[in-house]
Amino acid sequence: MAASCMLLASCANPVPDAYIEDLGEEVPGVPQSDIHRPGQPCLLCHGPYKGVEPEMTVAGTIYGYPFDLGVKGGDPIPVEGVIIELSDSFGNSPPEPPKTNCAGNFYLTKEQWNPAFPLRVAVRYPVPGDEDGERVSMGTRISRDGSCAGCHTGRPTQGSPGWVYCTQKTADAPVFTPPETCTPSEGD
Amino acid sequence: MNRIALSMALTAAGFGAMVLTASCLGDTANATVTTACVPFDPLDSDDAFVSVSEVLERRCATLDCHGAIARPLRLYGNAGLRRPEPDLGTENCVANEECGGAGSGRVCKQGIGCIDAAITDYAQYYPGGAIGTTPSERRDNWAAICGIEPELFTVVYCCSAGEGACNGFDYAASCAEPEDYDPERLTLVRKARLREKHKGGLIWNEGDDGDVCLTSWIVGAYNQPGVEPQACIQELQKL
Repeated sequence: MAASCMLLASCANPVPDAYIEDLGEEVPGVPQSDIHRPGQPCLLCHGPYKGVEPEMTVAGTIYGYPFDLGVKGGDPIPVEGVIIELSDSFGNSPPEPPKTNCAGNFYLTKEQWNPAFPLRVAVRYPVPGDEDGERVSMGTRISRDGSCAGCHTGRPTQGSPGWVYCTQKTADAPVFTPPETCTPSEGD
Repeated sequence: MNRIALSMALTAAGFGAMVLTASCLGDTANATVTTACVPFDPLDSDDAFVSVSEVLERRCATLDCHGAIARPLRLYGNAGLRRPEPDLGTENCVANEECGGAGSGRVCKQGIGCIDAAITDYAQYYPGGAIGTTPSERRDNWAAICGIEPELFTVVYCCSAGEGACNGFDYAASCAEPEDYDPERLTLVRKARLREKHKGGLIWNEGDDGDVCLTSWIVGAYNQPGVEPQACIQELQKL
């Protein structure tokens, strides 16, 4: 009996538990769906540890521009329609590359793609007048964490490059604007 | 018999020499072992370890692997985790002398503290920012690599580099077997080749550019006059 209790107790991992608690409650009015919790590390819950359905292998949020110290809150403008191009260490890619929704979120379930890390990744963001859009590659590989926000959070610090963004906010950059409305995709 | 060492303090003592002090329980046993690593001058931008470090920064030091603050063999660099700057408790510095003085590569940035002199724009000191890997980060990477298995590293490096490379090293007693020259004795080399369990998987196979880059440096080959770290350069071109 005592051994069983110890076995059960050992299933909890205080480190991810603390991270999950730090994420806080859901935003009121946003249903638990493919548009909830943008910018947060999805796999903390939707990964092997918590196993919340759907279980994901790669997931994240793409914003238009980098964190801007001059704007309150950093100007997080999610971008819809960004295509995420991925390949794993065997050269395999998802059958269909995922696309971001109106919250800037994208994800791949374990059933859709179960890659062998490390991964290469690039994003192709929409540019008016250019049907191919603009492709930007990540400078390093993803070694093991399928959550973009496991490393890419908020403003740049000595431990994070900041959130994932499409382009610097230059004069010739596409103008991204926040969506007026955002509803969950069908089936979510 | 003495019990296992409880704590070990590893300190870099000059370029290339490290001193390992082991404190043991039981019978008094304060032993000092001098170990050696491939010489490295953090302020020399032409030092071969600059290329070796860059290969490891790109292949191993992503923020979700050896660029994670809690992971053993923590590596710093522009592509991943940045070395914490400024030094703790130096916020009120006023002169460079308080930060190690001339030759340390560290300066007092008023209002910030003691930081690496290469950090010319503190706001750009983040992963992927405009400040490249600093000498302080390379020095810490060097110490982390040499400090995984310092005694074994000493044997492989000193035996391979040959007599004269390590003052006071007992070549006759330590370099009798072929394995004493074999970099694969080191867990660093075995894990990258996946000859030992490695959560990050296979990084490269024996003989690949990255592998040749690392092992050539370990055995001191890049410290020979006129030898360029060509394998490192080739590996970096692939990334």
